[in-house]
Amino acid sequence: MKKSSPSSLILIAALVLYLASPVLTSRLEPNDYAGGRSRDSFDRSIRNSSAIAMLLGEVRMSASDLIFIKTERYLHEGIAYVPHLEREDLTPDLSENGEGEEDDHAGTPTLIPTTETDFRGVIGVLHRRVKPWRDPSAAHNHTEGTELLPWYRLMTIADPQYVRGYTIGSWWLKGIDPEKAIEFIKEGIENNPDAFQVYYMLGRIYFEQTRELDPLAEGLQIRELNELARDNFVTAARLGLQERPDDWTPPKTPEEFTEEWDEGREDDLRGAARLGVLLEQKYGDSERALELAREYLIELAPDGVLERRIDELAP
Amino acid sequence: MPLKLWLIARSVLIEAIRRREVYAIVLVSTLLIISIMGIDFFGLKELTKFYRESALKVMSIATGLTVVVLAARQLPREFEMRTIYTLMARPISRTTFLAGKLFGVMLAAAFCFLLFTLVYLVGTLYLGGDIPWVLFAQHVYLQLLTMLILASLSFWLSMMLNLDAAITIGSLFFLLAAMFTNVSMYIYDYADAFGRFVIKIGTFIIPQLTLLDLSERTTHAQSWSALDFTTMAMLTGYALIFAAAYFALAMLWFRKREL
Repeated sequence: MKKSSPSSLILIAALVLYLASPVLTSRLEPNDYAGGRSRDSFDRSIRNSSAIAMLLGEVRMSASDLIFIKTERYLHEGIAYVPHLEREDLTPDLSENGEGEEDDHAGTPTLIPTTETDFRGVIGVLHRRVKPWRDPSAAHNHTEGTELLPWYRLMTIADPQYVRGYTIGSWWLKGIDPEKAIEFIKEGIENNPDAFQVYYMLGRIYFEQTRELDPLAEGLQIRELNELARDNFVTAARLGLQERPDDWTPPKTPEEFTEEWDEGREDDLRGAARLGVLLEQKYGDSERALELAREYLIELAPDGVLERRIDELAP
Repeated sequence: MPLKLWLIARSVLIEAIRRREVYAIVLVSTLLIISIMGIDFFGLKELTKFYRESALKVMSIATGLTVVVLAARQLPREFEMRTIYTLMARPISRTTFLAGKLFGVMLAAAFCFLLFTLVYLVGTLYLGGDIPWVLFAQHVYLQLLTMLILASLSFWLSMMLNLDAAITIGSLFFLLAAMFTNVSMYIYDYADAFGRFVIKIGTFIIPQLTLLDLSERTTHAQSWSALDFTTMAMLTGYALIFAAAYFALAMLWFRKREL
């Protein structure tokens, strides 16, 4: 019998893999892989089981992470700082946009080193002059968020499970076109039906919209928006409590938070619970509001806001 | 000599235009730029930074690759088609011949950039963005200096290696230049004494093409002004040193080649 040459074996192996590819890649649906900087390692280990999906999914995730870094550069006038922004930095509470605002990240190193730490002499001098660069000790200047939006669109196209892309993108977008923001975050819900933070953000957008309206002339519309917000806050709180580890206890300092359940998630969960109860109290049923507050407090205690709400509602 | 140099340069430019490769590259890149303009980002208009950044990158990559391919095949083809013997039989020095070829490639690069610039400017104005004229002119000028380095490097590579290898190495050098700069900055702190020495040497003997790239500054032009004269002069000197060095190396190899 004629012995096969190595090249023939490789060819046969490649052919077999090619023919088997429909089966091997059948688990590459978006829901089969979820990774990236927007999720912690614990979450990833639960979601990802397919080796092939992990390999190829990492490429998609990396693309989204790189795009996310790009948004940080756009926000900092093109200056390449070491990535340092978390979601809460990118969604300044209740502000329409952050143009001209200075944050407190002074001291975050730039990727191009300072004169004191640069080994490159004149090349380093030219590099700092040519590229957008400021001394890292200077306060950061944030630009208008509008120009970031194309990147949020791209990162969610690249990875529809990139929850952070949906939440931050829709937050920026709501200041320009609330309807488009709602459309965008609803797309996020469609792609991530179990992620509590997308419901929370949708609730926030509805809630923020009421601030633009005149309570006397547009009372009915305010009520409708608040009811929509309440429903999303309640859903977010329910999903968030399911996602929160059972034995989790609030750490004493922010540094003690872990990847498994970070500070941003905890803040969002508490925000959803508090706002859900508040809006149920104002626009729904007081008894139901009390019931929700007590239910949430069992998991979230101690929580001064929920405790006060219970005091108000309790007969 | 200037007339001879011009005649050689003109023949390179005419050939580049006649072969329609430049048009094909510009056309494909223009379609790419137009498709970038056409992406619907939530129905928002005047999102010019994304367009600017993407268009400038496409322009730079397309022109860079055109220059590498065009420059790398100039000399091997003269040898292959034996036209070099006819040319060298005339009273033309090898230096004039090579300088003419380089000038011709640079004219083709400038022509390519001119077409791209028109597309870029029309696109920016269509999207309602401002054009930072001085900064943009500086960007184009520095990009042409990048092309000068690439063209002279490609001449040298094409004399040392075969055509395919010259094009591959030239392209990789161009495409990975920024990565090399970033990686060397990053790993320097983690390297041992010998590693640091190698990184330092590499940083100074390999042209840092990222220094000649003002695309980020141009993209975020609202926050950054044009470069001052001293910096532009330093960058020009920096680029010319490398272009001259590669040209000299190409000349050395060209002289060693027997006709």
